[in-house]
Amino acid sequence: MTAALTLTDVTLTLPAGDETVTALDHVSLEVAKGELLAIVGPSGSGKSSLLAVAGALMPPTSGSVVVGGQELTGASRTRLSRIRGDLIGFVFQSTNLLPSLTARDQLLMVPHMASGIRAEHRAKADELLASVGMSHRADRRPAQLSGGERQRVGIARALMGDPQVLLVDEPTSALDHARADEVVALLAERAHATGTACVMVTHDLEVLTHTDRVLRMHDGVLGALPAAVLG
Amino acid sequence: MFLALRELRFARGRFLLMGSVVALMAALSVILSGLSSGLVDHGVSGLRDMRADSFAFDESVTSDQFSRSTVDVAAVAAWKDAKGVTDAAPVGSALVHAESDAGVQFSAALFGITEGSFLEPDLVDGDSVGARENGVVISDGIAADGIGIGDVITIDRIGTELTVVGTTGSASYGHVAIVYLPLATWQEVAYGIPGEVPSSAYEIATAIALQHDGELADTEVAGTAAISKQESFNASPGYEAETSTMLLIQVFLYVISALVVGAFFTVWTVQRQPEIALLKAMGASSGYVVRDALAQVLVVLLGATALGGAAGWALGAAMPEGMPFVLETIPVLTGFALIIVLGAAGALVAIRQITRVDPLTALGGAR
Repeated sequence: MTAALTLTDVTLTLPAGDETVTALDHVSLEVAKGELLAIVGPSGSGKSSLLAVAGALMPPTSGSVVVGGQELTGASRTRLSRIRGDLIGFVFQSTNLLPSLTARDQLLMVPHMASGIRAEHRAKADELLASVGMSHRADRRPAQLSGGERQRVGIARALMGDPQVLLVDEPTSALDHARADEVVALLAERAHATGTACVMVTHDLEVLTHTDRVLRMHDGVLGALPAAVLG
Repeated sequence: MFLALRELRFARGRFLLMGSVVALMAALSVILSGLSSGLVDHGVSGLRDMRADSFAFDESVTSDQFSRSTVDVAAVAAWKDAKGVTDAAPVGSALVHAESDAGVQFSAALFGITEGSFLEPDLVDGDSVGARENGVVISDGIAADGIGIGDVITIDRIGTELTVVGTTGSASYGHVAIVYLPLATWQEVAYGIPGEVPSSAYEIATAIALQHDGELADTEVAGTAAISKQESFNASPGYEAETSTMLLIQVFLYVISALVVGAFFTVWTVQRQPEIALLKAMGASSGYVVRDALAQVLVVLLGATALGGAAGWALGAAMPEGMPFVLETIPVLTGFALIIVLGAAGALVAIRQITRVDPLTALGGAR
C-alpha cells in the first residue's frame, strides 16, 4: 500500500509568551490509503498541532509533510488553501457546520467553492448523505439536527471533495457512547470503502476498537500506545 | 452568492432591520433631493430661465445685488461695445405686495424688461409685455390665485395699476411668482412716489443682462461688474443659505448611511468569524469569501434602496401643490448611487477583516 500522508521528521515550535513551546518534536508518520489511524493523548500533547500541520493549516518549523504526493513545506498560502480544498477533508468538533445551510447545502458548498455546482455534484451529495444515513434529514439545518447527526453530515461533507486524507478532530467529544461508537464505526467504514487515509485525534479510548492503528502523542512526541492503556 | 443568499434567508430578521434603515435613508434622500430641487426652483427659476449669460451690477455692491444694486441704463450701450458681448439689456427687479381687482392679495417679484429684448419670457398664453400700457405677463403662481388675462393688479404701496396681458410658465424668484412688466413701469414703481416722475428715474435699472460668446474678456464696464448667471443665484435672497443647508443635510445623510452599513457588517463579520475560518479550512480562498460577502452587501443595498426609493418617490408625488418640491430623475438617482456606493464602501472596510481570519481557528482551542 502507498502512503497518502507522510510526515518526515516534523518539528513545530510555537511562541508562548516570551518562550517557545515544542508542539511537535521530530514526528515521523505514514498513513496508508484506506487506513483509520487514531492518535490519543492528553490535551496540550500536540494532537491538534499534528492535524494543523498535516492539514496544511500551519507550516512546520522543520521537516517535510507530503499529502497525496504534494509537498506542503514551503508552499505559499494560496497553494496551501488549494491543497486543503483538493486533497484534504476536515471533520471538526461538534459544531462546525454552517448554521444557515441545510445538510445537502453543506455538502454542495464544497464544489461551489472549487468550481461551481453541477448535476453530478447534486447526485454525489445525495449519495454521500445516504451513505452516512442522513438522506431523510437532507433538508434540515444544523439547529434541527442532533449532535450525532451533525457529525454524520460533517463526515459526508469532508468526503465531498474526494480527499486523499481525512483529518478528524475529536469527533465524539459532544456525543454519548452509543452515538460516538456509531460515528467512529462510520468513519472506519468510509475510510475502508473510499480508500481515504483517515487520521482521528481523540481522547475517547472507548472508540478505538474500530481503528486500524493507534498511536499516542505525549509532549509532542509520537509513539506507540502502551498496551496497558487499552486494558 | 450560494452562501450569501442562504444567510440572508436564515438571518432575515437582522437583515430586514438593516434593510429597513437603508430603505428609510433612501426614502429620505428622495425627499431631500425633491425639496432641494424645489427650493432652487422656487428661489431662482425666474433667473435660470432668462436667456442671459451674465448680469452686470453696480460694482460697489457685492452681496444681495438683486435687491441693492442700481445701475445706469446708459451702461447697456457700453456693454454692447464690450468684447465678446453679443447683446445687452437692462433689467429691474423688486419684491412687492399686490392686489387684484377681485381683492386677491399676493406677493410678487417684479422684473422690469424692455419690450422686444431677449429677456422677454416665453408666453403660454396672451400677448407680450407692454402690448398695451402697463401690460404685464404673469407666471403660474399668480395665475393659480385665480388671476388671468384682462385682470388688473394694483401694486400695494403706490397704487400703480397693471393689466395682465399674458401668462408664462412656472417661473418664480425669491419664493414668489413673477410679474414681468415694462422697464419704464418698473422705474416708476422703483421711484416709489405717485404722480409726476422725474426724468432721472427713467435712467436706472437693477442690472444689465448680458449675452456673450465664451468667457467675458472684461468683467468691469462703466462702473458695473459682471458675474455669471450661476453666480448671480447667490445674489438672490436666501439662495445660498437654503442650498448650503440642504447640501449639508444630504452630506450628513450619506455619511450616516455609510457608517450604519459599515457598522452592521462589522458586527456581522465578527459574528461569522468561526464560519469564515471553517470555509477557509475547507479550502475557500479569501477572495471567494470576500466576493460572497460583498454580493450579500449589494443585494441588501440594492433591494433596500429600490424599495425605499420607490416609497420616497410615491410620497414625493403625493406632496401637496405649492410645496417647494420637484422630483428630478438625475439628482434622485445620484442619491441612490451614493447610498449604494458609500454603503458598499463602508461594508468593504468591515469585510476586509475576512482576509485576516486564520483558518487554523477552525480547529478549536486546544493545540
